[in-house]
Amino acid sequence: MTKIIGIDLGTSNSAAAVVMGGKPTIIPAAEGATVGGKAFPSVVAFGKDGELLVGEPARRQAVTNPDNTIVAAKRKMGSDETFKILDKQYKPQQISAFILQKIKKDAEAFVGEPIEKVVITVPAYFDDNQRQATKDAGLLLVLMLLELLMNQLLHL
Amino acid sequence: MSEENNSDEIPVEVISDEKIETNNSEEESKHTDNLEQISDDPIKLLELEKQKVSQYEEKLKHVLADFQNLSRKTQSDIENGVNSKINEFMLDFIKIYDDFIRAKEVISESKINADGLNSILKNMESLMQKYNVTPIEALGEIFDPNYHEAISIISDSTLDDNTITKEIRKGYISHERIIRPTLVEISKKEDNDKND
Repeated sequence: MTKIIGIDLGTSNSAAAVVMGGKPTIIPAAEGATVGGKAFPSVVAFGKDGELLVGEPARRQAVTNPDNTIVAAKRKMGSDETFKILDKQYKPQQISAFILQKIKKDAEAFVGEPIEKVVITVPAYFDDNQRQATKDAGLLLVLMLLELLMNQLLHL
Repeated sequence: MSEENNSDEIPVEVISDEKIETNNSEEESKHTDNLEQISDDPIKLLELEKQKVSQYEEKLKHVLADFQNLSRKTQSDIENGVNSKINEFMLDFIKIYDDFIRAKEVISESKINADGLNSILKNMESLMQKYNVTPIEALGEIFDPNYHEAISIISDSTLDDNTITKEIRKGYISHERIIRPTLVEISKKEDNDKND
């Protein structure tokens, strides 16, 4: 049976946990200790060449690259607002999906097996739109993984 | 309404209990017949046993592979656990080391003999070396968010973009893992670009 991880998709920091040996264990970010302890900063950035940075590395370069760094995307969840980065429009759901992807990747490295199921939390005050947007972020994560898989298959 | 419902129903073939019983008894009798036939024929019995052996061999292979994977994972889990605890301890230790460095700076400004403090600092540095904790050299390098954390920017047209001009707090690395990123000041050519 594959492990299920729980993700607290936060505004400033996100955290993930998994039950190991009957005990809930916090999944540490691959970068080690961060400002938020073991949490993943909810920051996404794009370098000048378009390279994607998520989590702690994105937070570390935020001062140098503020125009292409997105923080607190959660506040825009469920709205029609978009983030314009390097002539591309990103919905808050897409930004959240990048964070979820990073958490999933680090969780797989920590657990040592592929993660197929996740539980994502939302605040109690989230309305239907915001809840749906969070679900969409989860679906986008699945689509991104499918795309990655397809690319890998094409390169075989 | 009842007629409509009846028309929607899918016809199901009902198997009576008697039929099931007769089927079961037929299967049992077939099975016992087979066994009797096999026990009579030693070659068939041998083939059956060979099949069993190959099945067990296959199972054994899987179990061995599982065991090897588990032992490998346990070993790496132990190593990671020990290393992460050492790193956590080292992070706290480095904060105290920083305090000693600051104390040394103050003492040397006051022109007080700092030999004792220097030897303590040397001991601390040898302890860090023992646990493979090495400082990240950042000055003059190009900013890399994997090792450095930028907290201020200066304009300097003579330097390349994102060149580290000042180390504000030293960063450390242990076993290819960042314990603490270096806090740095970097240069940008932004002002020149704007003028252009």
